[in-house]
Amino acid sequence: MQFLTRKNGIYTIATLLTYALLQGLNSAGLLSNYVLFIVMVGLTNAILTVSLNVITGFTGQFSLGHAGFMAIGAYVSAMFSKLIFDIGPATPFAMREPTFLASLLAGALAAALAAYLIGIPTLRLKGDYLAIATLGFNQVVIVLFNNLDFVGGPRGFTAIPKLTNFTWVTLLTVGSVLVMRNFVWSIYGSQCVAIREDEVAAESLGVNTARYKNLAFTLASFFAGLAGGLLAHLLQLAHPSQFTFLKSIDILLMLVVGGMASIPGSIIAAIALTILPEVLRFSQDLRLVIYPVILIIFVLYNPLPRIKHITDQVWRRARTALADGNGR
Amino acid sequence: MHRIPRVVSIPVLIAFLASAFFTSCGGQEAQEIKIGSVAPLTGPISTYGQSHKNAVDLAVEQVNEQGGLLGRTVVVIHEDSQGDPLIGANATQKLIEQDHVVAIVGPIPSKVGMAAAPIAEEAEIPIVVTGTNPDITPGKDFVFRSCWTDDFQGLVMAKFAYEELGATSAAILYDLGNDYAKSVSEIFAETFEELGGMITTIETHPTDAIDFRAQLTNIKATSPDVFFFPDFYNDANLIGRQAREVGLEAQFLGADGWDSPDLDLATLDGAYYTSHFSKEDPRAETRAFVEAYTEKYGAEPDLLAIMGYDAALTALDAIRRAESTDGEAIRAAMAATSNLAAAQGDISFNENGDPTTLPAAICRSRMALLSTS
Amino acid sequence: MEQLLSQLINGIQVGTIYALIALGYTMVYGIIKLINFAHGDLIMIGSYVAYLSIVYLAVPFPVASLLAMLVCGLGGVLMDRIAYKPLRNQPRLYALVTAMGVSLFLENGARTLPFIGPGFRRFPDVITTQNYAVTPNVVVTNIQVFNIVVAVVLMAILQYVIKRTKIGMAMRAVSQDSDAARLMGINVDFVIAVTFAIGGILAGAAGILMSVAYPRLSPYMGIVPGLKAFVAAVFGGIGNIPGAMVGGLIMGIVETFATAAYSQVAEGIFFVVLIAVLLFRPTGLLGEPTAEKV
Repeated sequence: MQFLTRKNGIYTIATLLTYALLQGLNSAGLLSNYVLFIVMVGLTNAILTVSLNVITGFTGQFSLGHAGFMAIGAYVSAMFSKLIFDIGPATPFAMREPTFLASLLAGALAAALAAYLIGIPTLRLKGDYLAIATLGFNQVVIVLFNNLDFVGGPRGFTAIPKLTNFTWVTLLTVGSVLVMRNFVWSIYGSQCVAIREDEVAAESLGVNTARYKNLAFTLASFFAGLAGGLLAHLLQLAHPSQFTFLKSIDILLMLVVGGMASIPGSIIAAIALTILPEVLRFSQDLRLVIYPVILIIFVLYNPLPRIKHITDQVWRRARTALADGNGR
Repeated sequence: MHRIPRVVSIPVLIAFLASAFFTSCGGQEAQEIKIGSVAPLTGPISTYGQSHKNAVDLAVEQVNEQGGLLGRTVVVIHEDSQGDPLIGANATQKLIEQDHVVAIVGPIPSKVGMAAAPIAEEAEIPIVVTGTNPDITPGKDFVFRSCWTDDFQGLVMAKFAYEELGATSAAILYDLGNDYAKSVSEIFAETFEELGGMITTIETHPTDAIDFRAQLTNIKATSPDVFFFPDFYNDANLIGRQAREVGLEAQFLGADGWDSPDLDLATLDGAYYTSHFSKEDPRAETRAFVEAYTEKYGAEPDLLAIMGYDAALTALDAIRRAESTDGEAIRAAMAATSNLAAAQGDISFNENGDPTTLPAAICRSRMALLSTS
Repeated sequence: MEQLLSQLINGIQVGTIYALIALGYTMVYGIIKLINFAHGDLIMIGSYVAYLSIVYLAVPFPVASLLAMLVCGLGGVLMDRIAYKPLRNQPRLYALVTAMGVSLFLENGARTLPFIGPGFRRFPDVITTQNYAVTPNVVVTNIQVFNIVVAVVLMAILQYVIKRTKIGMAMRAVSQDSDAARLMGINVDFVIAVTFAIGGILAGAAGILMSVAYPRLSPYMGIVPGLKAFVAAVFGGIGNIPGAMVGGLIMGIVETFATAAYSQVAEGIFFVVLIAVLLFRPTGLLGEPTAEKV
């Protein structure tokens, strides 16, 4: 695969610029921590949505338990950073950042392991049955953490050191998206897409469907765990109620709004749907009604392509006018 | 010239949306003192949030009627937490960063308080929480509390059951997803056993359960003297009713989560529960609060109202004594609060920021009330 | 032993309610392969309609129940017309998302209505509780009996409609192969509407039964029962009507016994049992393994 394409270059520059812009504004005190907080949450949601996309959009497996893996990542990474590494305000920079990364990795690996183990038996199920099984798994995880007193039980896991910052979130989001994108557009990814398109045909063509379904599932859950860890170290709290199937459904909604199998779509939708409830804060009660209505309209009438179409037209006219103006 | 690729739309979108926020910052009214309040104004426990909001508004109104603080009007900005820790954390951030409040009142329930407290601590804005989870305050200088903790009320009820009611066996049922119910239950069990009683069985139920017959049938088979179920009032109503249907004849006991006008008095007639205040307390400040609240809102205040009121009172009092709106000054004044005559009782803070001298009331539903400290 | 019997009765009561709700899910799925996430909220609507008519309009209980069931039936049809029909030819996931949107809209919309409001409402006691002692230690209430009897009667009526009426035959045909049914002259859209209506009526009935047994109403009251019933429907084999009934009953009993045995992790046990059964019967308890045509 070619890495040094023009398109990739533009993506990279755009990302770097945005990062620099936001970070700079925040350091200068012009952009509040509140806004940055929301952007960070939005980016973790982006990781979650893209990873769900790998399972559902690219491999066609309907999973309703994504938040369960997020929970595992959150709790395990917090266990490492708080209990094992005991990171605190006194820990020097050189010790803190690598151990933070190690904790995150531990959480992500735990999530991936859980996914692998769960996947072996359950990925045999099809469609809605898989959905129910994954939903069941999600709820089992919640019950588990509610009962584990050493991680707080229903009190939640508190006083997690605040190690997440904008730099980390950006780096890890970019890294995650890159890995997942490369996976999906690689030979492995095409096997997964084959499974999505027609599992029987794929099997008959020699695709080891069980293996690739499990691979996609495990990979995606790794990143879900990573996102969970990031969020736990941002909020300084991991509470079972944050990871119920309702959260799984939230992620699914972001996925669908952004477009199945569209990675940029997933990212934009995740960030937009994170910011939207905050923007609608002023409307209090009504906000909870407006949000689903917007969602329904989006799904029913699919305005994004239409809007894109209109903006394309406008852009084309503008360019023609400019070209004309410059003479030929 | 090549088309600007649409990928640029991603960072542009982010930057645009982000900038839409910071334009609302600045332009602060120099003549107002702003305090913030975070409560579940929408969501499953929104009635609690409403009580809190009402009470805080009342406190602020009273202060303004007497000329405000430091010669300025006090304004309170309410934000909704929906009872969710993440949303509550966002709300707290917004109050601090966008609205530049000098103190924060709330949030409840405790899990939102756990998420919000570190944010206020880091920003050095004093916050007076109204949740009962003991872990919220220790180790933080800017975090205070306007009510007692779960440890206390579990203890009070256990002693009451053993000593006053003469109970020797108790069964417990609580919501396992509710940290508050769990910690009260645990302290109750511990204290009751220390006193010499026996806990016959401890059952739990998931948060949104409506059918408790399975657990109640179990409990009935152990014939306890008292049955302690410290959930919120809406669960308590259902549990009590089903307990009667199943034929459980123990004395019902509850905790401050029962204190609400919606408590089903018919079903729970004769039950006892702990609360932060009793409506018939003759103490002057309590009476004044109950009357003022009832007059303004046409309904009697519940425990959330009184906690919210006292939280606001504490914050306003600290600002007045600090004679400034600087976070550190207010914090120092608040830590030095001594015997502030609040609606629940007199407030003085210990080194954790918890009030040490607030009484608990034991209320009997529908009948006459007893008060114990 | 007596405790076992008590718990069994508890389980059956809960199970029949799940069964009624599961039927709605399964019928809609059988016919258009859609999981109607908003189905649980019809329970809520039925309950509130009954509540409002009894409390504000002084309508007697039986009439209020019928009214509630009718409104829910209508609600089901409306849901289909407005939100699902436009997406009939799209990938199923879109209709699913719309369904979730409808569900959120109904829940939060109900909250904002002043006569429903965000707090809990207490359903009036329309049946005074009376305990019957089957044996000295096993107590059954008249409400439990009422619950079970009504649910069974409704399910029997449904079976009759499905097996013995023309519309029932049409419904079976459409769920088997909607294109062939269309070729046979069946008005598929009408049949789908009827399916939603029946599902809605059953959900409304479930709402009434729930409100009588557990008299606490809230805008979110339909979420958890809806979810559990959905699980029950899949457990019994989604799209399979006897499967939904059996699934509902079994899940109710499993849940009750799990709670009685080990209430701390009962919810976990519930789902573990579900997953375990699915692993052995991947298309549900009574679902037929569908051969895939290549």
